[in-house]
Amino acid sequence: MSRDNTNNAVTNRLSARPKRLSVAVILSVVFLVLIAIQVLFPEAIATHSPITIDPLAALQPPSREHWFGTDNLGRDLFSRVVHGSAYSVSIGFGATLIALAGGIVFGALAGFGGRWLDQALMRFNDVLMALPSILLALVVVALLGTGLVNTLWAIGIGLIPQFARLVRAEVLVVRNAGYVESAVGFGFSKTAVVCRHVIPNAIHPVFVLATISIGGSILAGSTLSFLKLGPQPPAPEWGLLLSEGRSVIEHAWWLGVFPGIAISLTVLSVTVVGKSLQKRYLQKES
Amino acid sequence: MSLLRARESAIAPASAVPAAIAEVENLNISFPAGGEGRHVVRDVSFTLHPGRVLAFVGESGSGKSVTARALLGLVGDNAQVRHERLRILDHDYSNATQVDWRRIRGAGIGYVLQDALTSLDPLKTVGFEVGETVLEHRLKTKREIRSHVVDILGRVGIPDGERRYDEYPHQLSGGLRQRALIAAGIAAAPRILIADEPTTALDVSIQVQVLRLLKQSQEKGLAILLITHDLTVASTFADEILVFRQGEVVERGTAGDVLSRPRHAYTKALLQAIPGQQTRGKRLSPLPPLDLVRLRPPSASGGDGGDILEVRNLTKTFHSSTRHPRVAVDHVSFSLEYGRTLGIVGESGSGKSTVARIILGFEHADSGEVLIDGKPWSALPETKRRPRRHLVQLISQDPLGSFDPRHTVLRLLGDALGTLPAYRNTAKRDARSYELLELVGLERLHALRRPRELSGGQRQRVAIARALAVEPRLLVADEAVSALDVSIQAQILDVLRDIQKQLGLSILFISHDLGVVQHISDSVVVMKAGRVVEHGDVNAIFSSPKEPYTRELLNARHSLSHFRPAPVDAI
Repeated sequence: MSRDNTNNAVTNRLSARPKRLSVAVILSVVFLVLIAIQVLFPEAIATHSPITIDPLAALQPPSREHWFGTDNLGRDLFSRVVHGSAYSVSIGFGATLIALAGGIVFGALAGFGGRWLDQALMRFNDVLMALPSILLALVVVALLGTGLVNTLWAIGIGLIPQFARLVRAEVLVVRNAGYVESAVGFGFSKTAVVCRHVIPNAIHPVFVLATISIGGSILAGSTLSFLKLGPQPPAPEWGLLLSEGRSVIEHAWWLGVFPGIAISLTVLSVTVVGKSLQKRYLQKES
Repeated sequence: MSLLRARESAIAPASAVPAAIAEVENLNISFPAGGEGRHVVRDVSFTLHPGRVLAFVGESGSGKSVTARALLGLVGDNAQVRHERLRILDHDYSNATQVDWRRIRGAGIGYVLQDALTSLDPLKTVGFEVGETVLEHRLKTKREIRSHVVDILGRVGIPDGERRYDEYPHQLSGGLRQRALIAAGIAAAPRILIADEPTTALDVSIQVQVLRLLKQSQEKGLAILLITHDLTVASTFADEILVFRQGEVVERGTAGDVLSRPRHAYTKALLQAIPGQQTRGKRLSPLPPLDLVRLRPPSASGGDGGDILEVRNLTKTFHSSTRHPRVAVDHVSFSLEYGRTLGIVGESGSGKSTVARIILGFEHADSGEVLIDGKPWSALPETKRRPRRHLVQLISQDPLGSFDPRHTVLRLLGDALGTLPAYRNTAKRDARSYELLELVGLERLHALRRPRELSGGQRQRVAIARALAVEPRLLVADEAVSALDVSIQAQILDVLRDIQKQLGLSILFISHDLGVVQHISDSVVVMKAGRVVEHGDVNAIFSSPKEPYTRELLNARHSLSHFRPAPVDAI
């Protein structure tokens, strides 16, 4: 009996702790740390220069010298993939930051601006949400032109409607909370109430959406580059690598496979980590 | 009457009591989860008899509900249940399996949950909900069920059962919903009914109806286990009372004995804490008075006999796209003098809270106006009113909802103090916050907690400290003690009275609880359907009400408390 009790106590203490991380989450975090190292110190990892052309070594399969093989200009694919991670990561984070900022501004305006502004903003939002965000991004690129920074804006703006809708929904809930009314009762101005109580309390689920949309942004960035609408050659952006490899894929499979794996694993890891954060948040809420 | 009956049964020989249909001996329940293991019920024994009512009385967390759930095998998977005997309806349930329990739930023991609002499935019709148990236990066929349910609905006093059968919970009023729940509890003709707080959150007149209904079932031979925090309800209704405290039964006996000759200090304290006519001017809790004189702002003389609050002809109509416009407040006028307490009583939907919201400036009146300190208030534009908002502060029923969940108590108080020019400095703010906490009877260590980590009474004290921080002249207490246990309610009522006496504040005290209003108010406004029915001195209104509605309210309360506890010797 007493031994049963102690056993129970032990298991209970374990289950009282936050749930154990799954293997998938741990692997994802490890992979993301590797990516982060690549972004910060690409020279330390890359074996060659990503842009040096060596026609004699063109289209070589993976070997000891060239781990991922070489492309049709003889550039080392492994080094290009390593250097390319900076593009993907900056698109992922940059676009999400733009979407976050835009979403908070429009969502808060809609949630607080009264009925007419709310209706106007949200109906416009509905129109934008009816279009796939990649299509929206194409329109922005068509207007702004290609390049890394423009890609970033294109994808970020395409994501704003989702964020705006979520922020508005959260603001509408928090706006009616007792503590908001209570702050009004103490004589705080409307701006003070919004900045001190409404936005901080509405922001949590928005951050969760942000972690998940980083993965989506990376994918969207690669898609645009693949269509030659993102960063321009000789930049080693992953989508661009895929696109360049496409014409010779029958002779050089490695040109499609390695950048493809890089994109897939990064997006997968970010999404797995994002979902796990989301789960934790939901648990904390309940 | 029931006093007599209870006494009789106490005197009558044991053979007069019908044989027990449920026996529980030395029940112990603990939840090993959470470190050292919480022992929530200790050595509780009781028996249920046909045609008799046993009441479990106690405050929240005293273990009364979980004890009752043990009769249904519903304590929970993570609980350890031990007992020497558990016999229900002549069967031993010591080692019952889930299948055994399922067989007895509903059919052998009916269970009426608290809170009819959330206990009925909003997507199911009333008829389905009531008939579900009967079908589950195959007591009737699908063809017979409709007439059976309509019959049950009629028995619990739901008129027009044929029509109600197809209606959804939201189409029923609170009283009807509670009856529907009881109908579901007795539909399968159980021999035992467990009613967990069946009248909490109901208006007093509906409480009486629901209790009458339970009484009828009892007279037909049902054994009832009533769980309540309300001693008055237990006393009118129960044959035997068990008083729970921290998982233990501290007192048991016939209703008459427990109420008129309580033996345990805890029962005595509980009885003394019930507010009403006999407690006016007395302290309800054994705690010493607060010392608030330090808090008195030098400017707060104000006792020049004027009115802090004047409400003139307020009218407010709510428009809705789906329903007819509803007149929530209809030409309401009253006033409140400096340093006095005005009670507003009325049942739910009488407009009392809307009046409070207009006074607090959270809602605009369609016509009429509110004056604070003799100056315009409701007519002011928000920017002009803002600098004076600190004069009127709210103490709400739900203090937790009025605190930003991210902030500590220290920060909550500091934020409120920050609106005063004298407390722009952080160090000064912190010092003052600690002082305020001490003054309302909290400790320094509470300052760094978040509101979620405090008990209900502590939260309400923080709410009071925060309201006092900004040097108000008028406190609006909207059902401020309605969600609290009776002993905590007593403490908070004492705090409010100390505030009033020592700081000369005026209090507008809104409540559906007539006893509380009678205890604390100087004058009272009775509201019904948005109108002021009667207005005057509290003693005059409670002793000789002029309006029929006031009399109706008082009668309903009286029939709940015709068993009023006799004066108890001081502890």
